[in-house]
Formats: sequence, C-alpha cells, structure tokens
Amino acid sequence: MSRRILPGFKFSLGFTITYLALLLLLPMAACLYKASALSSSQFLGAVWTPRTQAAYRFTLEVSLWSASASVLLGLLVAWVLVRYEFPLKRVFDSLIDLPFALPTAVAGLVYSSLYVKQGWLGQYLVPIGIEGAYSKFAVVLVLTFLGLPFVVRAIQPVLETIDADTEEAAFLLGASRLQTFFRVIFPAILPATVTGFALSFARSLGEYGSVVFVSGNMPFKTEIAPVLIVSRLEEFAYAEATAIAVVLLGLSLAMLLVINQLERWSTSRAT
Amino acid sequence: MSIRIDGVTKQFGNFRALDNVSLNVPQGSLLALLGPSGSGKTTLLRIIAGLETADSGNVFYDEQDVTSRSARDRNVGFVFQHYALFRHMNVFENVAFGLRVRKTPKAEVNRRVEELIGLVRLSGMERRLPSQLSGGQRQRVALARALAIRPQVLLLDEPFGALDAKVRQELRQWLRRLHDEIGMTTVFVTHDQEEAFEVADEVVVMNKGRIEQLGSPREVFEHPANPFVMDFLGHVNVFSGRVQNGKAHWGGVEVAYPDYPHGESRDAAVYVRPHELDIERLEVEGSIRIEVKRVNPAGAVAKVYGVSVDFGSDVHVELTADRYAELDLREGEVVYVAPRRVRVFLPEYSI
Repeated sequence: MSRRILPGFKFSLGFTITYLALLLLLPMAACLYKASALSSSQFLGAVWTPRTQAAYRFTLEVSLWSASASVLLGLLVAWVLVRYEFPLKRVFDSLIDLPFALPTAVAGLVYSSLYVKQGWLGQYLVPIGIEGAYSKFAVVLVLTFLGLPFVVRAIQPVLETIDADTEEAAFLLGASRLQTFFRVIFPAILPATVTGFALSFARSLGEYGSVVFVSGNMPFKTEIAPVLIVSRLEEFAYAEATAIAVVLLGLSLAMLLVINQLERWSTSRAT
Repeated sequence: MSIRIDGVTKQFGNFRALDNVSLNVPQGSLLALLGPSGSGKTTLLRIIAGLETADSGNVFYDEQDVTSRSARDRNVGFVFQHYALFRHMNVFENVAFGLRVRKTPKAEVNRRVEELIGLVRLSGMERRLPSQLSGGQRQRVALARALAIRPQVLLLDEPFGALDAKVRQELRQWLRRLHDEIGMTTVFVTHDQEEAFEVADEVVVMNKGRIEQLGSPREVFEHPANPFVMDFLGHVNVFSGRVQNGKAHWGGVEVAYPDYPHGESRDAAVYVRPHELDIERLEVEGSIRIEVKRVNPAGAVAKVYGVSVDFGSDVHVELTADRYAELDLREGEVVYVAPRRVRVFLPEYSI
C-alpha cells in the first residue's frame, strides 16, 4: 500500500460513508419505502393527475425562464465586476452573494410586498399591467434573484483568466468588437455559462420558501410541485405525498449528474 | 513600410510615459527599443500599433498620418509577451483567425495557414490546443498568427521575456533569420541589452520617456552618448575625478579630455568597462592600486572583484582566461589596475 503524507484516510472515508448513509441514503430509502406502499396504478394516480402535470410544467417553465434571465444578467454583472474599476466595487461584489445567505422566505415576503397593488413598486406597475405578485412573472422574478449569484460566481473566475491581451490580439487581427466577443471571449466562458445556467436551473426546481409567498399557489396556474406535497400532507395522504417527492428526487438527481458532467467539461477546457 | 514618430507625448495620471519622442524606422529595418522598466518602450510600441493613443504628436506609416486610425485598420502584426493565444482554438484556428474575420476564401485560408505553420516549424501540430504546447512553441504560433494577415510591420513586445534562457537564445537567432528572409520592418521591445545587440540592426536606448541614444549596436556600445547609456549597457566602473585644461584626472591617472579646455577645475565622472582594465603586479603609469577581494574564473572571462586601496570604491575587472592564468591572482593581494580606455562625463550643469 502506498504511504500517504497526511494521516486519517480511513477515518475520513468512514465518516464520509456514514454521513452519506445516515443523511442521504436513509431518508431516500424511507421515501421510496413509503411510496412503495402504493400500487403502480395508485402511484401513477398520485403523481400524474392534470393538477400535478400542470405543477410540473409550471415548475419547469419558471425555472427555464429564471435560469435564462440569470444567465443574461449574470454575464453582464460578471463582466462589469471583472473588467471595470468603480467605487464600492468590493461592496457590490460581496452583495452578489446575498441570496445565498438570505432565508428564501424573506426574499419571497419582500418581493410580494413590493409588487402587490399597494406595494412601493406595485402601485406604479400594476396599473400598467405588470403583475409582479401572485403571477408567473412574480415567480420568475424571485427565482432570478435567487439564481443570479450562481451564474456570476461560475463565470467570474473564468473571465478573470482571460486578459486584455487576448482581446487586443483579436482587435489587431481585424476582428470587430462583436466578432471579438462571439469568437474569442464567449467560447472561452461558454462552459462556465452553461454550468451557471444548470446550477440556477436546479436551484429554481427545488425552490419552495420564496415561491409560496409570491406565487399565490393557484392550482393549474401558479402552483409548484413542492406545494402539492404540502397539500397532500395536509390531507394526511402521506403515501401520495412521498410519491410526488420520489419524482422530484429523481429529477434532482438527474440534474446533479448533468451539472457534474458540465463542470468536468468546463474545467477540462479552462487552461 | 517605414514608420515615423513625430513628437509623441503620453501621460498616465501623473506619470509621463513618453516625453516628446521622435523616431524614424526605415523600411525593412529591425529595430530594438531597449530600456529599463518604466522607460516608455512598451508604451511607444503600443502607440505605433494603435493600442494606445498619444496625447500629442503623430505617427506616420510611409508618410501617411495614421495617428487617429484604429489599431484594427492599421494592419500590423503584433506579438505579446505572454502570447495571448485564443485558448479554445487549436494551432490552426489561431493562425487562421485574422483571415477568417476578413472573410478570406477557405482554400486560401488553408494554403496560407499551412505555409505559416511550416514557416514557424510547427507542421503536424495543427490540431493541438495552446495548453498542449511549450512556451517557445506558443510564441511561434503567436508569430504565425501575427504574420497571417500579411502585415506591413511586425511589432513584438518583449517576445522572449517569458521563455527560459536556451529557448530564448534559439528564438532570437530564428527571428533574425526570419527577418532576413521576409525583410519586414520590425520593431521589438526588450530590457535585455544582449538580446537587442544580437538581433537588431539599430538600437534605441530609452529612459524616463525619452530616447537617450539611437545607433547600431556597435555605435551605442562603443560610443555611449551619456552616463545612462554607458551604465545600462553592461557592467561599468564609475570613479569620481576632475577635469581641467583639456585633461581628466582620477587618482594618479590622467587622460586627455579635449572637450573641456577651461582652466576652472570641475567634478567629472570617469567610466571604465571591466574588460578595458588591465591588472599588473608592478606599478605602471596611470594605474590605481586595488586589493583583490574575490575572483571568479568560471566562464569565458575571469572576473576579478577588488576594492581601491586609495578611494575605497569597488573595482570590477574582466580578464581573458589566458591572462588570468598568467597572473595567478590570490585573494587579498594588492595589484595595479590600469585602464586601456576611459570615458569621461561631466555632470549636467544645474543652476
């Protein structure tokens, strides 16, 4: 056996496996066990009704929209933070991480109180037809707020490694500003951008705390899948609730695999 | 194409990077901008390329004023110190970039890129990414990329600065041969006097945003215009002496200095290069006494470090290996040192 410089390999491996078993595998197994009490037709009946289908569709749709918005805004923010010097830059830079630390329910409450008809922003926006609370738009808005830091923090370090020389080289070779961006800079940050997209998309899929406050939870319109679990629980239909949970679990695991692949791809190209 | 720079000044905040610099680069010449860091050499190169705009003054290509022309339209080849390759593109695509953005027909692109990759001796490596190449190979890709657009001038910013000594030596000679083959007007920036002397036809010595001297490597080395140039180009011993009646004195040494015929005695600095000093065991006319502190016989010349017995200043002598063997110097010994050649500089008059 090869000698390792730092001791404690066996201990840390043991801890890792125990941790995985206790905190991840056990609850997942319990979830599957509970759901297995249902027959396959009961299972399908729980997870595949018009109402659950609408909720899945809604969740996917708002996640796609908010992840896309996060990518656009995040690219812009990362670009400004890397390429320009301005007063209080460090403060702005640390503020980007605020959504990581903020309890999401706070974000939901703040957003809904701002955008309701009597809110600071809502009193001007609602009369011109922009419904920033209790609508699909409201959900996208709050999810974008939560997803933005994932994109910024994915792109920023990669952008920092592209120095001004590279852009100048492209310019001297006759490339326009647009050509320089699309042929030189964007391909270099594309893997990081895709990773940022996937991370904020995954975050949006699983978000609950903020969405319940801003969505209005209208069945078939603005109801997300996790809310369905809660309402099943309130009806004491535990097996049905876990059935939906199993579906969401599967989705999350699939997302994680995709994100892992993307990150591997992006690090293999970042030299 | 020839380049003419006319009275260019550039200020960065409080720092004057270039102070009214004028320079002619004749068609087909290979010119080195040589100076310490902060001397303005890179700024001058970037102004020639159009990457920086001058606060005042003009840049001409072949008598055509290009001062306000964008770098993109100047058609110059530029090589950066740290290569600045496009890292997601392979060697072929890097070299082809300039042609692709110009919408060159595909067959023409293939032909030209293959030709250039052959020129920089990287055939067979077309599909490699920059991260899979060595430093010297990356810089050759950068050079091929710069040449692809058929520039009229080639500008290089410390092109070999990031490479190790052996590769640097090879690339220098290779750049010289390349220039002799294609004869393109070339300007390169360096802080390494050896590099400038080895490669360039003409050397421009810069300091504090001004040109101190311009000339062939030999002219600049043999006839430095001022103490800065003398000091910057290799090791030098500096002694303080005096001038009077057309003669300079320093210790017991007296040399003719016809530039100062006046009777009033003045301070002067006497500069002697280490290889222009001889060591003798017996006192000779016009010599000073030094105590030998350390000798380093490794290398093509033997280096002797001593201290002047009378003034206490350090003296650095370089002897040929033969002469060193003949003398058989011991550390701690007192010997006589006589200059074969000295240069005297009067300090600037200050009022």
